[in-house]
Amino acid sequence: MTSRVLMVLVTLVGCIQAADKYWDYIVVGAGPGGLQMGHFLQKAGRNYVLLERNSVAASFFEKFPRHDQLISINKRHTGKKNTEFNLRHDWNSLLSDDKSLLFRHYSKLFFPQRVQLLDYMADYQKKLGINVQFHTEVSNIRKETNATTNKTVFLMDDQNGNTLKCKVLIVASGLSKPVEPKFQGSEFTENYSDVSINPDDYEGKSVLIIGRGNSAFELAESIYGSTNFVHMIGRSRVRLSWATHYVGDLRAVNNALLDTYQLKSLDAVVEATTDDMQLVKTGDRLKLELVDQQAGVSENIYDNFAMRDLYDKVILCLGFQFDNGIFNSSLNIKKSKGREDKFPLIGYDYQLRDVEDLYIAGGASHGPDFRKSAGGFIHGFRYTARALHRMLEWKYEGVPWPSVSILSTDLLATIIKRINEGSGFYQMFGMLGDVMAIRSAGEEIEYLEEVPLNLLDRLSEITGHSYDEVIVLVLQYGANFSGPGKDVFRIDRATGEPSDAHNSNFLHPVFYHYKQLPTAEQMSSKTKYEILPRPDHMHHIVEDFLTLWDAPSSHILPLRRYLETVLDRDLRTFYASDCLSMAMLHQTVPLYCQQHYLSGRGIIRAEPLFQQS
Amino acid sequence: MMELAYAFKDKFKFALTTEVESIKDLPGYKPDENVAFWVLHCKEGKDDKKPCSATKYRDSIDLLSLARFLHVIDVEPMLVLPGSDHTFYEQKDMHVAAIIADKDNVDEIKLEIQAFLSKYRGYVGFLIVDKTKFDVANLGFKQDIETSMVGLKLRGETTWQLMPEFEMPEAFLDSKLQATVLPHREQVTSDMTDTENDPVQEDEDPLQEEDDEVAKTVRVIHGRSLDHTHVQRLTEETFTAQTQSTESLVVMFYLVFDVRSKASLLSFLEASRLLAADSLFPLATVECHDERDLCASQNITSYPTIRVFRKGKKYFNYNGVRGAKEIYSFVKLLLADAPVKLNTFEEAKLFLDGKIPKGFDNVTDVSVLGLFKENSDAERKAFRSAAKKLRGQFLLGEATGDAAEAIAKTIPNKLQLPKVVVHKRNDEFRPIQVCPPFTESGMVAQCARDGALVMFPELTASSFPKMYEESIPFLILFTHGRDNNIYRTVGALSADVNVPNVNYCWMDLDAKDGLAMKILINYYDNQIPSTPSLNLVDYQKQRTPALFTPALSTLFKQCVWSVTEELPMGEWKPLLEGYDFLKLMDEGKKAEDMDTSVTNEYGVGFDSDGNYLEKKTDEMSPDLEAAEKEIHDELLRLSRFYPKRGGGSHVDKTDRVHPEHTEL
Repeated sequence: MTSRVLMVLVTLVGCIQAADKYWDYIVVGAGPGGLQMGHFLQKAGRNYVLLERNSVAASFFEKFPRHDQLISINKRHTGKKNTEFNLRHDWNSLLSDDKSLLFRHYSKLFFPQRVQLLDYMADYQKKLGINVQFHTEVSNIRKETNATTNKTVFLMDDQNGNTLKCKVLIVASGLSKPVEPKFQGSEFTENYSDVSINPDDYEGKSVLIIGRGNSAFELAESIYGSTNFVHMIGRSRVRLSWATHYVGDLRAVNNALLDTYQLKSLDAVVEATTDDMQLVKTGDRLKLELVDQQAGVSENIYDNFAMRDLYDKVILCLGFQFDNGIFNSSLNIKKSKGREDKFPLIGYDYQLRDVEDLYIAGGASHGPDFRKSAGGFIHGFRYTARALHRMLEWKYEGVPWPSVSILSTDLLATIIKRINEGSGFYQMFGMLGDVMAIRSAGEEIEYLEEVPLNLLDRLSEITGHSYDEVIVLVLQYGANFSGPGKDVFRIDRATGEPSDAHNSNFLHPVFYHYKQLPTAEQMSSKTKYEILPRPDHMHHIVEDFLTLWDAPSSHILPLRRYLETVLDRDLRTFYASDCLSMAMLHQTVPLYCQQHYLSGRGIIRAEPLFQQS
Repeated sequence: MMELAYAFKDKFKFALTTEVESIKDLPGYKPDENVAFWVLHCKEGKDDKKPCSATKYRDSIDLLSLARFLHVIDVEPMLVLPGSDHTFYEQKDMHVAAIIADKDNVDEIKLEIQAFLSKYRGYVGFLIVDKTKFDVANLGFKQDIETSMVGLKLRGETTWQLMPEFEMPEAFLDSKLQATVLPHREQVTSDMTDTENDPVQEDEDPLQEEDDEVAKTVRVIHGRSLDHTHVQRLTEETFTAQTQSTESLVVMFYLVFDVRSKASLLSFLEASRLLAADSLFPLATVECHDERDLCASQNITSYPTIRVFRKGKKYFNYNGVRGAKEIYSFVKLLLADAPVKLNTFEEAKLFLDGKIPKGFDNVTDVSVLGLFKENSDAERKAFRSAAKKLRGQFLLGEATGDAAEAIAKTIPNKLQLPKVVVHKRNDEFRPIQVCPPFTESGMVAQCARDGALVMFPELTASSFPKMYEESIPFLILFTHGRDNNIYRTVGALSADVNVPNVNYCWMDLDAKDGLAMKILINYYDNQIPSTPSLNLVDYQKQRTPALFTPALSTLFKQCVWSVTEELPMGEWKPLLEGYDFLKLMDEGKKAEDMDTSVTNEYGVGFDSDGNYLEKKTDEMSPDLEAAEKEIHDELLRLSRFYPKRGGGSHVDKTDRVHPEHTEL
């Protein structure tokens, strides 16, 4: 009897709990990506929670990177006061209105320590009051449809057997699972995650590192002074970040081993894939052999085979991947293919393919821009999270994408301001861009910031604004700038000539004008180097050494001519007397005179008086 | 030229020639010129054997400049002082050359000037000054100026350029005129709608030639520091404290990259200097690139925005003319008491005359005076509240009781109090407007605004927009100054309530900028009408009013008049197309024929787009298989897994030649 009562009680409590544990939005993970989403949800006053399995925010950084040093730059000074501009060179801060939450207040190091990031993330969560439920490890995420209302809800279990529910699920669990390929002899390898980081353990050892990423080089650099030599293999050629503009490629801060390789100091780097190799135990040491996949036999047919020496340690440093073990198999979560196989398969709206209302934020949302932009890193996904949040606001709350309406004669100044400060499209170059919708026969512009470019065909669906004719402002590098056989320091690597701006190699503003928004078909038939489909008019502002696009003749004037061509209007400014003369001789006046002079805001010419030196 | 010939048919004979032979002996003939224009003074030439003296036209060949020239070509080219008006040539907007003589050499100099005079007719007027009889100080010379000195005062300038001795006055004049005529010519030809006359340097890209007049003039300040002595430069850190601690602060939010901001900033800084002279320092600036967050919090989306803060709170935006004088006047009015308390009849009287408060007579021509009985509280409250709204626009004063009664008696129609009186010192046709006793402040403000409109204003760049806003036609009198009957007639009509509702205004044909003449000629299809002229123009094509009221019919008999019905639309299209980057890129692509055959940059197991090639499955086509094998082999060959073989793609496994080192 007693036990039965107890059982009923337990069930009751379970019911109450189940009823209580509902949020409109659940964010899984309180790392940088989750916290960034949390801040936007908090600011918008949404019913949400972040579920974090550990006891602290951003717990990944309790252990990683193993050698403590972050490789995101912490540029504390730029000589500028513009806070938006400064975010272009602050790769660690999350977005917020709180100026104390800038990373430069947390570290003086250009490459900060991971503990400093932990401090920062903890403060970010607390100061902004982001609702995080720690010690909550979710699993068995599934979806349920209410038969009567036909509404769907996500359910998941925590480690205590509670069921948690939400309407919209945002998974920001990052890339937490080490990549560990299986091959003949892989059981003899160690992994970056738990290999010793004490150089003493490598004294006089011959080490093979499998992997070519920053973690592999980070390890190599920390031990190469103790070892006999370090060999590194990776399946792709070494891609240097400063050559590819991709911050996930090998950063100069980690590449010291390239030096010792090229100076023939025993350390070395070669190309191979684990698919082609096996490890054979030879006494205490390990021998690497090539295998022919089909025949399954050794291919070491040359007696001068590069890696014929024996190794004491073989370490896997192949990075991390998305852990989809938290999902019930009924959701059928797919991984990306090809190079993006570390990431879940999502669309440009960050929603999982085939699972409505399930989104990815943070590092795991890098799939769509992998090796293209910075969406896998704090300084990138803080913006994609904002874009995602804006899309959610429209889709679920009916709040359209924020926009500002301006006069066409204010457009030139507005653009010049944006290209000289905007950080979102600077970091997420080629992925996020500003959209200027042309309204009222070209007299007004509605300006939207940092819209996902690949969703341009679905603009009204994602923003809640319906537009036909738009100009899209994108920052992009020159196509095909780097690659095998190309010298990124070649003497003609940059141009300064405005009419040659389309050959700019460095990040520069590019404008796409569409009389009609591109169609889905046009979007999907872009070629490899195209950021957007072929527009009706295109403009490049020539790359600038200072990334300061303020030169009257070289930057501003050609842009004005472009806008004039697009709007088919004369956009010049006139002094009041010239406006008067034109107004008295014509039925219409140039747009500036119409929008400013005739409203009483004419300009009278005055002479400059310069500061005495 | 035909229009000119028509307009001046009574004064000149016109001839046109394409025969170089017939003109090559004329002074100033240049064989490389396409067009040239001379005036031959044959009526004056008494000697039949000699050719007529000739004057070559030096300005640009356009109607306005030519007309101006023909107007003055027949003025007496040389005057002797004393005996003439020494300002004669300046009034005619000509250059003036003064030659200092004494009683001994006057005639001699006259003869010498006569010799080359014709060359400069229509441009330079010669004053021969007998300094023994005429006080040279009247001309602005020092008393000790030597005889035979030549002074040249260029059109529009106030100072004399001196040549020491009367040796080569012609060369002196030529070189000085060259310096003025040439820039002048450029200025005249740069028509706002037409750049084809603009001289374009051959190797310069016309797309990079600035054709925005404002941008051109502010270019000089690019990258330089302007004198901000009298304005506070506010930052996010100082903004709140500064606006709160100041009664009224006028803040210009601007953008350092923006042309309009720069041009407006110059006016703003100039205004700050004018205000500083009155010991006023209420102007401040915020630069929106540096102070991004501050401007964002103020929702600034248009540059510049001039915003008034009172005790830290946003009051309103200044939407007036961005001119130094205009901003100065606005700020002065903004800072004045609103309303000014006037305690006596005398004070109220002085207030209406613009003498109280001191120093406002050059700021505004309008005084708005509330006259109240001691007990008219509701009206006074409405007036005071309206005064707050009108701050910055008018000077407002208030008088009560006896003082108010006394003033009311001086106003025509002997007012019953309470009343609001608008006194316009610049309106000779209706200087006083009286508003009924409103108890609602909005009505008071509106009445004051309407009442302050000048009945018959001069049409200028500043006055036009307000009239234009009315959306009614303009009746414009083009006249030489206002000292004439027709001006007074139209002015009087404008104040008549029975005439059609149009904007009555006038333009001065003698104004230095020449705008009135330019417009007038244009209204008469590029012919020069006799003046004064009255024109009805409907800029917004609303409706043409019934004009032929008796009053106007009489008026029209007195002058040339016309209805300008169909103005050209104005095609305000871009002057030049921007760079066609799509075309340039297409051409570039063709030329380059982008080499896509480069080795796979992504490595083993990837296709050329970096897509991972899945392991072989049964479905894999032989083609794909071959492709994968090829990439695989290629990578192995290129990678330093094996030593690289020289020559041929086939890997010869018996060859042991060691290759040279290659890149990674």
